[in-house]
Amino acid sequence: MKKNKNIIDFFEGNLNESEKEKLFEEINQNADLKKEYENFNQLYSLLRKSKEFKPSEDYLENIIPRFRSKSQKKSIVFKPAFASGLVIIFTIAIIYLLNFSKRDIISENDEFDNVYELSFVQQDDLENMASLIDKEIIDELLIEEMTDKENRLSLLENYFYIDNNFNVLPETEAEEIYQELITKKIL
Amino acid sequence: MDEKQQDFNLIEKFLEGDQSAFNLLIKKHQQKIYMLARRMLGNHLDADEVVQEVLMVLYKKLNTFKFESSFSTWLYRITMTRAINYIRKRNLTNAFSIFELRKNKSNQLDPLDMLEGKEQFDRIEKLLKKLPPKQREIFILKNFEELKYEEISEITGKSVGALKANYFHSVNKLKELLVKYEKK
Repeated sequence: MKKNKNIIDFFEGNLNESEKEKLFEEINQNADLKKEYENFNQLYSLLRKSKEFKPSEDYLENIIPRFRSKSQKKSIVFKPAFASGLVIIFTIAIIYLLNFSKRDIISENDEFDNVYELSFVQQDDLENMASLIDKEIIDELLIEEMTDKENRLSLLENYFYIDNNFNVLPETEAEEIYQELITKKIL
Repeated sequence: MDEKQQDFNLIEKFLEGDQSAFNLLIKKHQQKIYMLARRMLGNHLDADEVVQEVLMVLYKKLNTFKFESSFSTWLYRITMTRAINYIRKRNLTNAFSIFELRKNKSNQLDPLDMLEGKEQFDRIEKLLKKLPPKQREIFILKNFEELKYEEISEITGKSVGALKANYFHSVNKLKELLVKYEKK
């Protein structure tokens, strides 16, 4: 191994003149060492030739244009890590949206029920209100019309649908009914 | 103006937004990047991929360059790290679909094919492949790039003593491999 080191040092240019002379003396006297020297010589000559190799100009000229076009493409194309991240985000978003819309449907249904109920309430209220307004108008008309004695009978006829039965009543009795009615309505 | 200062000027210009300065910087060093990657990986296709990766790293990370060591030292470190990472990645993916990918890519022309004595280059490539990647790195930097042990130490972070021992073992191993190769 020590001998090999000296041979390597020789090929690496690390030996001075006296060291070189000493080495070659040993090589000339030792067949095994000579064989080793020849093997190393073959390796170093191969390495020297290999240093001369250079890539073609065509290839070198295309390195930068290829890099430029690649980097442009890279900025457009999704990276796998980015794409998978995006898929995860989308999945979470879809799950969230599904749950959210479900909750919405439930609340919308509740709301619908409420509105439906409310519509009934409102409808009742409206009917009640309408009837109240109706009654008030009728009352006003009644008061107005009944102050005129002439209209009283026809009014009673029309309003209470007494029709013919009313006609058979004597005037005094009719007057009493009228008074009773008007008291109840107005007070 | 020396090489180091020229590189610094180009980097400064690029960092100021001058894209042509980046192109000039790469043109100046692209052959070195390719040959380093080629010797580390042993074939054109892989070397070409590493070259493109190195360019991308340079483009993105030049703003972190500290102007303390030379650009070449920085470039050696980036290229060698990328090449070693690529070897690891390749070893993992070799058993899978990469075979098909390689078959398709093999139509690309090797930029060294047309050179005379290419067989000798192939022989060295085959021998170098037999060295462990870290040992190969030291051998390439010392033998082909002709760097001093101190410079290699700056790139690899290893002590000069360890580098010397490593280099000696590499040369011995290559010699043995060559003897075996010749016998075949």
